[in-house]
Amino acid sequence: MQGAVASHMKLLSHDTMRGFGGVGEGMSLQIAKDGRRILWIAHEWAPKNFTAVDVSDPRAPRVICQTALPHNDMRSNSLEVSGDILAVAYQVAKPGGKPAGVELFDISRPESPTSISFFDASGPHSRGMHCLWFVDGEFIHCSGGAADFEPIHFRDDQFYRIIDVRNPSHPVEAGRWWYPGTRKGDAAAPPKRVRPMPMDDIRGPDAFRLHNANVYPERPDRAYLGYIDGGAFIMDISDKSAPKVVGTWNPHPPYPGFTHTVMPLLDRGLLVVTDECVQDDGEDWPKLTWMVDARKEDNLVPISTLPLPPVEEFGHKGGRFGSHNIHENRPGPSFRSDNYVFGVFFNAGVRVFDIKNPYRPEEVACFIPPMPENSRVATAQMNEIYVDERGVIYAGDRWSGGLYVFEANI
Amino acid sequence: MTILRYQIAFGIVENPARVLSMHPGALPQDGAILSPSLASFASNSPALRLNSAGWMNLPAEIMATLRTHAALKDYCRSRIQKKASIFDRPLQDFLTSYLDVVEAEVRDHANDLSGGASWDAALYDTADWFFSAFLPLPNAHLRLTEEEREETGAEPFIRFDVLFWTGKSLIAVTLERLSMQTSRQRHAQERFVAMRPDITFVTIPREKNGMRLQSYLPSVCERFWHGLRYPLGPYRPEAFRWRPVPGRLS
Repeated sequence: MQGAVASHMKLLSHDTMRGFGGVGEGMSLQIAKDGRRILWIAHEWAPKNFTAVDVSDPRAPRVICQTALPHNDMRSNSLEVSGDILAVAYQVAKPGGKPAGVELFDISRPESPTSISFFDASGPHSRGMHCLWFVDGEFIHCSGGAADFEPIHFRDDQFYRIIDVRNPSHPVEAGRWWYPGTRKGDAAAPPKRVRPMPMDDIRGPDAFRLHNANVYPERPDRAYLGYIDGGAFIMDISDKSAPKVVGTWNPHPPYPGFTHTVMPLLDRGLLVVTDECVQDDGEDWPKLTWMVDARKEDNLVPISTLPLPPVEEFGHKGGRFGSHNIHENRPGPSFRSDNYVFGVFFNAGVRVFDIKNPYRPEEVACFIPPMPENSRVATAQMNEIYVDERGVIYAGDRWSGGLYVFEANI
Repeated sequence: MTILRYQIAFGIVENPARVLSMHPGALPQDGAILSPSLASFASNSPALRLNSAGWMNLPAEIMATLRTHAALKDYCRSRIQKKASIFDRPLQDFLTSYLDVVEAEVRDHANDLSGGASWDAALYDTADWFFSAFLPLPNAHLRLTEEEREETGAEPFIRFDVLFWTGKSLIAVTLERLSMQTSRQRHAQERFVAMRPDITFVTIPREKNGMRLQSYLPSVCERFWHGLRYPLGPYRPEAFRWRPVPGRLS
């Protein structure tokens, strides 16, 4: 690929997904009944809902299905596959909009997904669902609003919701938790804003709402939450109807906010905690990925950060620069590693880190694609990543580049 | 019969080559070393046991404070445990389980090990046979030969969770983990396994309720005292230290 920067990574293929190459924060792999590998991809923005790509041959991906949203004032930022069920998160542009919630699809025939049900999370103060986690076929853990939830600040509308989908045609709420002091009527005082300006923009950089909620089958009594400016949380969800805080850690402030993902390395007593860069031109640098010692869950200790490339080179290169999504070691046809972290860093591309020594993570591979055609910014903005159990790496560009497929020599 | 040589960096090791370079005596053909981070020996060497001197520092002033069998055993256990990373729960659990199994094995065979009515019985406490258990080398990095490196495409060392040297065979233990190997690592290990019939490879599955090690490591866990007349403790004067000379009591 002309103009790409590569180190120990090889591009196997690239697909702009029929010209709708804005990849959101959802990539999930299905092994279809006929053995095909189908990668389901969420879109960053309308008009597309989700796209299915046959990646059985990673050197020749092929779009087999692409669906449309009902209107353009919404997005389906996140999705997950468990078995033959696809869960898609719908978020609307403004509180009160519809449809806002989670839709479940039967994808047993990947070319023609069929809606099973819709869990409505709309409400006068809700933008619906932003991000979801669904790996056990039973419960969806997600960031979402609700009809009965009125936040004190309108940017804090999405909190931790657990949805029971054991009967997929009739999803019901199983539990919820929100940051104390963010809902009207809370006894706790509202949290102090980290980066409050502008206060009247719903897309402003500051929020006390949930981003990711990760729950692993090996530790079903724990949820790992990235609560944006609230930091990282470990929750006891042995009683899903009443999640309880076990431990928390928050570097914001003095760091510039937006805890995104909290991924436990269960055999090691470590957490990988990412922040999300949310502003262009290095405005919110540094957005870091942290290694946190979690051997004692109620005393989380940061021990290092993944090394980022030089800010003087990337900060003003165009678009965002810094941490965002990582491959989350989910069960299924997925590579699970306690020793390597695979991440996307917007204009710094796809990066792989050796964390065998968590005090001194080392970058071992990277790939930075050139600016894709029709991008809104001057660089590729690598936004989402998934690694299958064979070690094939799938990553997506936020604006127009679509799907990139790699292998790493590690 | 071909004499094979083994060079193993173990414990809290980031760079096994550095460990070897700190022990120049490990490389010559006839060199033999047991240090807190390196075991270097030949295939005709006696077994490595908890009472083999060199793998832990046990200065006389500390030994003087360890006045009971239990205190000495706990010290020995703590030295082994410290050779696993604080971020390696499966390995820590394995070492705990292994040492528990060893203790139980001695306890279960106390009558056989007591020395009966002979004067031997007055010489030692039966529980001292604990120190005759095979020495686990945690986080073990076995140095490959040039030929093996070329054949496997591996790094100069191949890592195993634990290695044991029983005097008859090298036993390489891999603990099943949530974490997967990369395809390159997996390929190198598969090629290495195929090349080394002298090594017994054991994979211990991940289980929720502790590990029944005896069923996976019978030659390590069961009757490990076979062939030994007396139990020896881990503190030994220089003259009685572990030597890689075949036939001598270890």
